[in-house]
Amino acid sequence: MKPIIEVQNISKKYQLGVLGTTSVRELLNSISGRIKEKGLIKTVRDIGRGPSNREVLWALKDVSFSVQPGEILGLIGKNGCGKSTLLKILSRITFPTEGRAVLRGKSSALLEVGTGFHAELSGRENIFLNGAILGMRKREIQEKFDAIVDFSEIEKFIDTPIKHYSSGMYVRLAFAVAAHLQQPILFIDEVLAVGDSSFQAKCIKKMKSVAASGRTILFVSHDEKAVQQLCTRSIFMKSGKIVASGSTPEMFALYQADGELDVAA
Amino acid sequence: MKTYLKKIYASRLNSTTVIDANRAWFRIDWIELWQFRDLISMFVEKEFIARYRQTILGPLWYVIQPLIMSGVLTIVFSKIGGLSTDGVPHLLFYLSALVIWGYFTVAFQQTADVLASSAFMFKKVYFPRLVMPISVVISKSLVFFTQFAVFVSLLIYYKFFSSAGDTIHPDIFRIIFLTPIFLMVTALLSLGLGLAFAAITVKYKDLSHVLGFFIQLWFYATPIVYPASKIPEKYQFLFFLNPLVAVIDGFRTAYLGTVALNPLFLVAATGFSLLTVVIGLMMFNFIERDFVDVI
Repeated sequence: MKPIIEVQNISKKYQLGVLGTTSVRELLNSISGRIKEKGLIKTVRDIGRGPSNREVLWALKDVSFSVQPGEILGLIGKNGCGKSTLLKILSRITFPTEGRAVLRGKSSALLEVGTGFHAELSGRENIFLNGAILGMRKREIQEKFDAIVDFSEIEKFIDTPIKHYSSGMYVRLAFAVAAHLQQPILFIDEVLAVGDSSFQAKCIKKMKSVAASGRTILFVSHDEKAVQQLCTRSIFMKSGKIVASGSTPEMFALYQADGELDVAA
Repeated sequence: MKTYLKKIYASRLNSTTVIDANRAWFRIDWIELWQFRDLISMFVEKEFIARYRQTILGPLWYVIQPLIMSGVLTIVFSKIGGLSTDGVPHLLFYLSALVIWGYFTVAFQQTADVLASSAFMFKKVYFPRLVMPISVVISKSLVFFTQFAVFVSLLIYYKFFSSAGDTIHPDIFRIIFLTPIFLMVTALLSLGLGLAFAAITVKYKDLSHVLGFFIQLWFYATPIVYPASKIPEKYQFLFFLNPLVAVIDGFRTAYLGTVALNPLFLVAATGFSLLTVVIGLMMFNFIERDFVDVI
């Protein structure tokens, strides 16, 4: 069977330092630099100090892996190891500097719960808006509506503007929408860390049933318990590269050993 | 048609997305955009409704603003300044231009700001970025229709129930055939310019400061407080540079019966607005894929 997600040699470069602000001088430099590169004008004098050599960070370097349909794959590693960047690229929030990825099916990403919630709108209106942002059709949301409200446990407040919600209610509603997504591929980042412990247990249970329904999930988390419960296979990342991939317990053993090494050094 | 669309939809369900480093100038996934049409309509609704929730007058605000503005222009430019309104009632003269000018500037400014103002969403979730500017232009067109309805009611009042009725000569033929063109040119122009400005502002924030000033200047370069016919003919070629002249003046000619400009201006304006949209789409498309890294 063809892998449903295929990641081939993906790299992502970030410019460090002053992002987004370019002075007129830098602009002129980069233009003159480009003109020289192309050999259009050979004797342009340096207006400043040549193309600026700002520091460059490779958040991902040459990452390749593939995922089979129905697999729940965990991505583990320390903060800054590139796992979230990888998820952002796969969910098309940003694009790779090099390499390519193929997704054989529709996908949706949950990098944060409640994206696009609007404070003035009611819970009901927000379910529709948020569902549509996550890629659902209106009809799909209508079909799932009762289940979503049921899961969120906020029936009584469904027509109240969500600015009056407690943070717990807000998060429950947001997760409830996300948990009812229908896309065959899901990218999930840390969203399980929401609500009180009983709601978290409910979330894990829901995730398991989602996983059991044959969908493919890429799951990023620091929460070892959650990853252990959900993922059979994991990828261990460090400094933008894949260190190893294999069964989840093995990867966590590696991860912990690596962490102790860092502490020792 | 419906089965054709269903077929596309079905094929898209199992379709393949390729993510790569290739930065193309014109690679817009129209089918995907179509799949997000429900989101567009929800954003439009949200824009229109949420804005005036918890206000006493609600959507009446959409109507009050241009009316007050027309009143102010009447006092300043007609009564004090003594500027001609081509013989038609002052209020109608100014309001006719303001409904179009208002639509254009609000849609343009909000589209130009769309990447910055929606960055919090674009950083967390993917949907076709074009959904936002398109919803802006559509929701602002709803505002336009509200104000347009007020204008038409006033027009009917002045025509049939006031002594100034004889000075107004609505041209039904022009109204029916040209109104969609006026609306289209205005919408496309604000969308195209807005997209282009949005793309450049990502990198050069200076532009957001320039924009307000630029629009103020444009206000005076457009026949809003004066009739286009008052511009000497030898300078009228300058109207080719400003597509809104043909729209606003044409709108007045159709609804109020003022002196008509050369119809070539409207043809040029239509071409200009189409070109603007193509260029705006290209620039937006070029920048949208990784602007979240910069903004």
